[in-house]
Amino acid sequence: MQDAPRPDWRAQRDAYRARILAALAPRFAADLRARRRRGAAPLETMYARTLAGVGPADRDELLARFCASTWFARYGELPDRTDQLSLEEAFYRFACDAAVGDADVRRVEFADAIVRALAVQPQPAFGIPPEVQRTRGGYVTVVAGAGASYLFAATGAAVVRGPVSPIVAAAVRSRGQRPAGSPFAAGAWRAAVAQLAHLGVAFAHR
Amino acid sequence: MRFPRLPFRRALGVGLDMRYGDPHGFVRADGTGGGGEDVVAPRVRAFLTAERHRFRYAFFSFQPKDRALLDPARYAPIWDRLFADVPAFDAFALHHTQLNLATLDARVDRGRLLAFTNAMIERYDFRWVNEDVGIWSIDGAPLPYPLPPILTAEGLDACVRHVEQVQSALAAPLVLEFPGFSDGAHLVTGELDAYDFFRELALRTGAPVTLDTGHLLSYRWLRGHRGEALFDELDRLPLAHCFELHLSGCQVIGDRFADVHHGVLAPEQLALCARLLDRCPNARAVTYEDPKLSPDGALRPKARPGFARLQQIAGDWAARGQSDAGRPAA
Repeated sequence: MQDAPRPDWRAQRDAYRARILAALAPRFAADLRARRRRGAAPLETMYARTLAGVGPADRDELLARFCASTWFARYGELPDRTDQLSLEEAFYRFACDAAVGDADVRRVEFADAIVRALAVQPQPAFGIPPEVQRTRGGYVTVVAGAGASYLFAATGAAVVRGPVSPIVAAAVRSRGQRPAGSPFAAGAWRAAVAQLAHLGVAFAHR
Repeated sequence: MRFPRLPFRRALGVGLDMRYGDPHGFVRADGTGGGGEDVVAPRVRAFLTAERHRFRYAFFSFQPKDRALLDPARYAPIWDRLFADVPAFDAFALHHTQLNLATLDARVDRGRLLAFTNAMIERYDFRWVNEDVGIWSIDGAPLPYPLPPILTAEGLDACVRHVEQVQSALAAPLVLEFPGFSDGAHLVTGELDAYDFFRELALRTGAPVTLDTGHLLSYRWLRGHRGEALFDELDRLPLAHCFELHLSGCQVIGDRFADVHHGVLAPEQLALCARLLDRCPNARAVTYEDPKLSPDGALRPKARPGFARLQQIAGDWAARGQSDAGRPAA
């Protein structure tokens, strides 16, 4: 009887990778709960309101599911890559898929967390989420939630956050360019852009 | 074989893991860990200044300080400060933690990492770069501890490819370190003996190697050896390639061999160090790794007897090297 052929390198590698990830999932989860990354609170603090309805025992199970998810597989912290997700984004996408917490709260906590991370690491070793825009010297995003729009901006190392008017939110979304057919008057638009500039949020235009 | 060029024949050195927010690495200037710029931890500065005369060289481990893209300009302020704050040793080396030489990742692009490393080599005149041959991350997710390679012929081939790629791009010799087997022992996989694997890796790549006494003992311990048998089969290692030995603090806890890096050297480590120095004709460096220090920079009392014995062993070996000075060095 012949020995079964040994799996090729790719098969060995993939099988071992899966085994390691499964075996170390509790360690990954513990790390997420405990470790402070620069520009980031531990995960449960970062998403405190999103996770408010998840009890202690269920959190273990939730974090285990996150660590086994495709979103976790896309998260990374290698300092020489930009094609990996930040922890902030990976958990947010997972929480959206799993419908954890309230959608508005999730969005706000994600915006706050990712902008804080970008304020500390303006040239990050992770991808910039599509919800976030680059500005001159920083990043900005607006989210709608609880009947209002909220702005989160990294202006240099500082973080600016708070409710903004619909016209300011629109100005952020269109990078300061007033679109044709805008319901906002040109003068009011200019004032909104000036207000953003005063906050340190200015857009570069080619 | 591309051995490091050194201004000494044989010497004792010290190695420190420069983590951020760690009292044995870099800390924030305000002392709380919360704010201010990064500075060299006072106890590290004090220890290296007071004990400079005991060590000819020093290595520092590179750790990313945050999640920013690697950029030499971001690291230059704190590393310049490190070199300004510590005494001038006769040589410096870099212990890497990002090369991931036994990686399982399907796509590996080390271009930015190697350019960054070469900038560090040039700026600080690092004489060599070493790293444990291990799996340090999986698809970007950092592992809680590096795992040994897959111990198969295919795993060896893959390691050879990665080592050759790094060797060819680095501006300083790459020194391969035998990996540890105490953490994640339940995950070790493959049918090859780790000593054989490592010897073949060294032979096929022509790389000089670091033999970490704790790592070697952890492998023998994992294989069920105890007592004198811990020191058997050393000839299966690439002894002629051995450039450096590492000794950090190890301890047997229950029935587990723990590579705890607490600075207290186990008798088995010292015994293995002496045996290896007798068998490694080209060894040039013995490193006391990760000493643990009191706030004023003094070595922990528990660590002092072991360190004194290490100084004696390394001193005798260096003296023998002086008497052998007519022999060609590698």
